[in-house]
Amino acid sequence: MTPAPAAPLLQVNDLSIRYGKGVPLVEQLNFTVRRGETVGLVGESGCGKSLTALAVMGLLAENLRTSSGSIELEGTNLTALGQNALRGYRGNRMAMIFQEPLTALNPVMTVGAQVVEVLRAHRRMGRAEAERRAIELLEQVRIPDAAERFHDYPHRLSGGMRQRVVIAIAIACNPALLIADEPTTALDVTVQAQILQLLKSLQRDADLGLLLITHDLGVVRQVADRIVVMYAGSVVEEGAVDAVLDNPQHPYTAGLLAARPHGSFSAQGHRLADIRGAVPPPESRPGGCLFEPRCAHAQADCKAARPPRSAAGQDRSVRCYHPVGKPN
Amino acid sequence: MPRYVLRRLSQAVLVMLLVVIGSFFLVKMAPGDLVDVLAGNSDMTADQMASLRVRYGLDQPVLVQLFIYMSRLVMLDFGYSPLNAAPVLDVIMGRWPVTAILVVSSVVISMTVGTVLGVISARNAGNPIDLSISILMLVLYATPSFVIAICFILFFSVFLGAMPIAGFATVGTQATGFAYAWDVVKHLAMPVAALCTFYVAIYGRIGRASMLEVLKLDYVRTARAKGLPERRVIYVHALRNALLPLVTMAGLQVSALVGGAVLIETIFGLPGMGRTAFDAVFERDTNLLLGVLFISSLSVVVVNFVIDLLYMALDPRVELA
Amino acid sequence: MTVGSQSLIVRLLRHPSGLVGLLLIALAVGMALGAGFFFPAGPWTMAGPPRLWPGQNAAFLLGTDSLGRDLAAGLFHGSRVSLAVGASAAVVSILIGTVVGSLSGYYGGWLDDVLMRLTDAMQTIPSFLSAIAIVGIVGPSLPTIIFAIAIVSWPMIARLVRAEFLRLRTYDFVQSCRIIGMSDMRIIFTQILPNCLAPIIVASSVLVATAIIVEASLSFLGLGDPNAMSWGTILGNGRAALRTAWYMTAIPATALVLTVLALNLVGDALNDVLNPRLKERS
Repeated sequence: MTPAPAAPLLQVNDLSIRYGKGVPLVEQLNFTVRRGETVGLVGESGCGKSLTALAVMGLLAENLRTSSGSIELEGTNLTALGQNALRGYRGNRMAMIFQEPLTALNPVMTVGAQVVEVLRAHRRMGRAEAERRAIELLEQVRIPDAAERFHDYPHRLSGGMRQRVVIAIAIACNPALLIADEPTTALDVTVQAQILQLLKSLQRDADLGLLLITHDLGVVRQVADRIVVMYAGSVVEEGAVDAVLDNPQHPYTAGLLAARPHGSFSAQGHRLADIRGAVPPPESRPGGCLFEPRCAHAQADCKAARPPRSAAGQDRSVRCYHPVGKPN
Repeated sequence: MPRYVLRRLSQAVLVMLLVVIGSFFLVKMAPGDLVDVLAGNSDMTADQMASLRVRYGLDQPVLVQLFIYMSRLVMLDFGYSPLNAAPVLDVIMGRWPVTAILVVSSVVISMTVGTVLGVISARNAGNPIDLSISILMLVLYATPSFVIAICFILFFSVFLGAMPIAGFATVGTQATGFAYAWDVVKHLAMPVAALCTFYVAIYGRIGRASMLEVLKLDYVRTARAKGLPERRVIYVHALRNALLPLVTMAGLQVSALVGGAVLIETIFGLPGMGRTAFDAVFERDTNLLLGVLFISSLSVVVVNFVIDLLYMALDPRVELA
Repeated sequence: MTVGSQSLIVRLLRHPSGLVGLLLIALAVGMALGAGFFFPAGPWTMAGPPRLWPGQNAAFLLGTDSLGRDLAAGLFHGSRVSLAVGASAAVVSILIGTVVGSLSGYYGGWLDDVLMRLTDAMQTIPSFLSAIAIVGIVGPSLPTIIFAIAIVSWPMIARLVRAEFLRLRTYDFVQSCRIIGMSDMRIIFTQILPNCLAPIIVASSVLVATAIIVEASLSFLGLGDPNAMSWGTILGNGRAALRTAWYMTAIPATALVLTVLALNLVGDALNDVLNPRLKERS
């Protein structure tokens, strides 16, 4: 792969998200997504993955706000934009797919109308043209009999089909960035693979930057180019998927990997390692390394201050004083 | 679809049957009968009364009378109203439109106003606008329609002298066309408004709660993620879903409004069904009372049936099995 | 429900609308209890000159009506009628509604069909129309009025209780009661009904409020008990003098609205206190 020379597609710099004036839920977050690249954003539930995605989209709930840092999409700082300007980007230059396809579509509108709507919001298109394009999009996400499904209401479609509709809506205006928040978690295992495959092929065809939020490392290994590991509102490790998963540097990443079942059911005797303790809630995060209370390798300096981001090889960083992996 | 409609129809028929039987026995509890009422207005001998009872079938056992009554109902024969010296059906047909105008305009107006206030309230949840609307709702919710009616009369007619105090139109008016319509509107404005206030509060409160609920749902977030204008997110995506519980409410409202019309028509001297029912009770005109109960119940059943169909049109998830 | 009645009242008092509502209701109850003490002559006595405006004469703080009856006496004695009718009608309709709803929800089948059509029919006849028909035909007296109001308001409770029964009867604890051979009546009364109490209590405050309005409306139309001076009676009498002496209407109207408002406030507070699930959502 040739490195992209221009500014990255999405650059999140030192982002913090607060609840009112309270403690930050997400702090000093840094990561980038390049054009045509798939980045897997992983972490346990409650670590701030979805919050980050919503912040990028400008969809944080009213009582939440980004208190510092910037989110740059194609060089434009989104956090500095007003709601009106931001609206021009949403659904257009960047789009999002949600976890729960059963509730993501309006139950009283036909699926076709919901695709047409986004086209007409961002493109000067007549009704007939938008309908034609919508049917093409439904075909593109491989919905059989797209022209007929166009007139169906969401409740007539299965979860997988609905997720395809949500994807069609997301890619309708050829966005540069697609954020998928646990897009397969709510689906049957067989359907999961199909949806991932679809996302991957759409991403390749359109040179999309794909930010895939998931807690499933298998999914990341399968689709992503790079991985960003979040813990308690911060990025703890970042790098190329194979490098990170084969040789985790941060004890948390290592713990996550050890906590997954290896291979098949034949390995029945194999005991699943899990990480002791639980993710601390934002108001009781430790002053030092965030992972220190649960870390088996913690030493005195871990309690003193947050470890800085340090480079750990090419295009790779980790926030740890005592990385566990083999040195690169 | 046809199966569902058939089931609903058979339920409606059953309900009407119960209404007929119930109101028949209620009226039978009254001391004296139709002939007593007729005799009260004239000098009648016992013989004449007895022959009238035979003529009206009042000498028959109660169940036979019920059967006769029901078989006449099927032919839309409601009998004779001594009070009005006319067939009950004619009396009702003359009065029915007044109540229909009152009820229909009240439903439409209260639903619109209530929904708008509810949406405004929900979008400003927690701030002073929401608070003042909520307090207004609370007061309207606690004030009976006849108290509102009296307040209106006091303020608009007595103090300001701006509105006609009673009647359907100016007595002896020669106006036609638009001038007549305007005269009627002026006469009906206060009665309709008085019927509305309580339901403005109900729709407002349900609308607010329903809107707050819907605004939290995933598809509203999807709509925002599409970059739609906020107006479209609120009025197209959220409102249509938030309206569903309000539509259900409308069915109950129609029945209550027909009842409430008794007070309002009496206060404003309007020749409608409610007023007729009240007079029928006072004058012991049992045929007329039965007729009014039957026709108003029938109207409620029909309206509810229509509302059910409307609901299915609004919510595609209601499958017509 | 493990909440004792005492702690329920404490929790209501901590709720802002519950506090205001309870205070207003306490005021109305105080008026009803004190009516005989403050106005031993009763509301019907022509005590002074007619048409005295409030404040005109220190002996008649709220003025007198067209016949020289003390409006304050009418207001105090009227609160007895309003509260008594409201409370009794609510109790009777809760009884009827609970019986119908429990049978319907517990047994289902044809019994449910029959009872629900009956409920439909009751809700189809405009309720105020049936109320004036019943009172007009049977004759205006307090028991008739209470009966009439109860007859038109039980369907709401029946639907509520039925819905709760439909939900609860599928629960494991009910199933296990069946398995150990508990009788239907015992399951209904000792297992399911206690779990429906919260929604019934919330609904009852609205029920009392509605009953008070219906009674006032009937009396306003002249269909009240001729021997009971109710707020509606004063309102009806005052209407004739609306042009010249609007205070005769305004005073009982205010009492009526405040009482109904208080009951609604308590209803809202009960809803918040007894249904934490709903509170969380709003």
